[in-house]
Amino acid sequence: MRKNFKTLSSIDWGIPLLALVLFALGQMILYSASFQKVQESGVHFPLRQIGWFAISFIGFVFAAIYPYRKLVHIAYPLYLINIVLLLLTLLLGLVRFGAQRWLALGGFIFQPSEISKLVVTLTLAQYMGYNRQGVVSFRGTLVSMVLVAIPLVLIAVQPDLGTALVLVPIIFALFLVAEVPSRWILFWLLLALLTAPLLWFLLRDYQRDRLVVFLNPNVDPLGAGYTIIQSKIAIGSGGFLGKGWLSGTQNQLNFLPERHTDFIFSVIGEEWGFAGGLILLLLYFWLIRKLIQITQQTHDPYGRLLGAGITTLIAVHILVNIGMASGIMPVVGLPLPLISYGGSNLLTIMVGLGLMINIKLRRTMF
Amino acid sequence: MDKAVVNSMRLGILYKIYLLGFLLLSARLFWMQVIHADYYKDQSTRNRIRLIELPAPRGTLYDRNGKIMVEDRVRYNLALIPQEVEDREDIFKVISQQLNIPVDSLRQDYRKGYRAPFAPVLLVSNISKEQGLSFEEKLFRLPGLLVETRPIRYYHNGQASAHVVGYLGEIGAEELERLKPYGYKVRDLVGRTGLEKSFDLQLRGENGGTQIEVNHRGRMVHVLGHRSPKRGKDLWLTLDAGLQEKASSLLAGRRGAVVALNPETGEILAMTSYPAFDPNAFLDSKRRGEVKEWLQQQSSPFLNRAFGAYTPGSIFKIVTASAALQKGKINPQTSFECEGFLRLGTYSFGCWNGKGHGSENLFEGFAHSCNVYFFHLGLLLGPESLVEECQRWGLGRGTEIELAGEAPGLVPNRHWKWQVFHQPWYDGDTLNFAIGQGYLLMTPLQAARMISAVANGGKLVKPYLVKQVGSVEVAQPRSQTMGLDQKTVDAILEGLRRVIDDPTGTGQLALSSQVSIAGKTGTAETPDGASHAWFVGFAPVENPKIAFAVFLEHGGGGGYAAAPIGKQLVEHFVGDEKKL
Repeated sequence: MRKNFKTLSSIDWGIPLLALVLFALGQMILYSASFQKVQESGVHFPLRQIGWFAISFIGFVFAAIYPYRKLVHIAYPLYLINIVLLLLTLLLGLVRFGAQRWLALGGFIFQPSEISKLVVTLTLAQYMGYNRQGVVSFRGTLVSMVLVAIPLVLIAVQPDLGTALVLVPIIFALFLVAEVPSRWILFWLLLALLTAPLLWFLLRDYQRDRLVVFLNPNVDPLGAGYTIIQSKIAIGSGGFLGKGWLSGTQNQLNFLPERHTDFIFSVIGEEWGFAGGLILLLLYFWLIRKLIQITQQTHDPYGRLLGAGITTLIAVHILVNIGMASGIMPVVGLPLPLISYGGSNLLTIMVGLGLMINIKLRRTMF
Repeated sequence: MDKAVVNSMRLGILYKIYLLGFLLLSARLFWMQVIHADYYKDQSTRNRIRLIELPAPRGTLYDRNGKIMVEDRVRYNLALIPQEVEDREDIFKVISQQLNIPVDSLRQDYRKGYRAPFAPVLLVSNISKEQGLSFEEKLFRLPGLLVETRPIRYYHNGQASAHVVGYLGEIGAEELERLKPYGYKVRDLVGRTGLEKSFDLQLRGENGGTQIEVNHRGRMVHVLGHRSPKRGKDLWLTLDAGLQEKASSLLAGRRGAVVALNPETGEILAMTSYPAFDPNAFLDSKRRGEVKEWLQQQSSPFLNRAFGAYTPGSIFKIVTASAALQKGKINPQTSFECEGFLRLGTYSFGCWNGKGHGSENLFEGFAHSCNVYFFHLGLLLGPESLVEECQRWGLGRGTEIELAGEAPGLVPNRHWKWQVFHQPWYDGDTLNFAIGQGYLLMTPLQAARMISAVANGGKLVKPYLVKQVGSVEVAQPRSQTMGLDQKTVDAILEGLRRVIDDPTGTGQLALSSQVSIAGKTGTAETPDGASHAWFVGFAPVENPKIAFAVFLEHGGGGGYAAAPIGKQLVEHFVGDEKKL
């Protein structure tokens, strides 16, 4: 095994490098976005985020080194623990901004739903990898669906619609890679599309508002539509080259809510313009491409499944977040990977990237 | 197919989906930031730049003696800027103590008036200057409170000049569409009637403003620019505010109008209509009830009766006499016998005095307002000559006064009668025409102009109200010679003098110990109630300074009801002249 373990030189340095560049850009824009907030509240968001990055980096290194198959094989116990945590969140969780998403464990506050993103991916990889013959049957896809549905519902009722919905593309990506026959994939896709309207009745009022204002933000320009309208104005008014760093009027005059977290792309669009936004998209795309390549090159079925899952996880975050800020997706509250302020998601993404490096390192082992 | 190939293909699908997503986002950003950037830039500018309007005062209206009739006064209001307030209840308490307003009603006004954190909420309007200053001193310890100063139109003469001056109201949608090129904006106050309407463009100033940059809560960050408001232009009028008040008080309680002119120039000294409304009420939200009441009143206070067309009755005999004299049908000594009626075929046309006036010449005919005398003139003239004479005296058409809403009156003729009633013109129509009855209609303003022509020796003046706009003189007295012989004018003048001076004259109630007055009474029968009372006249006879028409709608006899009003008006005017 040791001789198969490639030296540091075989590590794909591109991935941590891209992550670092994106994080650095994120720091700059976070500095601009939180400029006023820092002075008002005294909380230095960029510094805190660097602290989170340090922690996440440890997670990244661990995920890159520790044999990922071992992690996949303990996925079921992790899954159970995660379900318990989600239940605890519903029972004992902290309510913030009208949602019960946070759990306090010994002075440490975190979101179990964030952990679910990776744990569910690991679990599906374990199930589909272990039942390579079984998963191509309808029964196999049904079990996979149930495995996703349980945490999905628990997260959706918190409510955290964004995180819950991320799980859906992940399972379809894994279906693709697990060679589930196209007819079953189409069947589940169709079922998902048909049940989507039914979800309307399960949504909270504010979530319905968000969907309504996505279709027409002017329905409620000072209420639910406000964020979308202001975000579009910010991005559009940036023009080709942007208004310049620290010079976005929408940003600096406080017209953008949530601009250091979910809507940070509005600040990028406003201050760095189309040029900056395009560069950012290219960097992200480069990263996604690398992740796809790793997934393609590994000989390990588990690695392939895990790789497809993590790639999808990251890609969906990027696409939905920017789509939401530019007004072509409903507001569902997904952060922009490596850039939005917030520790849990940064840790998730960095661990995910670590696992990808791990998969690449061990691609010829199996 | 080989498994590895399938797998690879499937990952390819995933890859293509993501690629498509990225392309879509790039296209979206290109659409927003390159193609539509200008639109969003404009939106972002509007987001952060606000204009605080500084309203420009409207021009002042001065009367002929330089007395202010209408002006913009400063009104002090108390308002609250929600986002600046630290302790709302404390502010309410202080206001409540100072102005004796219950805190509850302040709370209610606040709740009703709240629009946005940056928009001032009006709490108390129109406090006195002293109160305003006293609050101004307390502002530093009541953050969020604001003493606003706003111009507010004030009409000194209230009801007396309501119709001439007009009133202000918020601009309507249609009007706005039409007036936008002239800088009118939504919620602008514009003149609704009268001079306020006709001269709105000159009277209204140019609003100034302060352009500020605000943040998302509307708090000011910088001042970007400032433009001082430009005051509107002043109007210098021909009106005499005192006479206006007097005329209005003389009409009080009745329906009617008084118009007084300078007979030489056509300057309108007074023009008032009753019942009237108070233009101040339109600018006071507390007086909305009053306005509504006026709108519903049967007596139509908004109607300017000086511009309304009414049957003139005997005051028209001036025109009939003029025609007969000019055409040489009669001379002043020509006499006719009045038996109390004139028989025409099977019909009998009565004089107002059923006993008959006996033999009357022109002067006696005027003095006694003998219908039979003028019936004879009518028969001698025929309708065509009467119509011609009406044109000479400016009847049947507007006077071209600066205000809108003037009725042209009506001068009937054969053709008109056929068109309207499909009936031929009868001699009876001519008789009615000759004594100002029947179809003929005249406005009090036309009547005043008619009598002015007698006073000034045969000139038809153009009545006007505005002498000067800002520093520019806009009106020169304009009149046209009517082509009357001096003899004609003298004869009419003598007749009109006798109406008042003769102890048997119909206008003897207008006889004044202070000033010589000449005039003509009119009692116009109406199909729908009491007669209209008219009195037209001028004074002093030797050197006329004022010509007037008094009209009382369904007011009864002209000599009894209208003549005394004419006399008091003239006496007031002459008394004022002496004082000056």
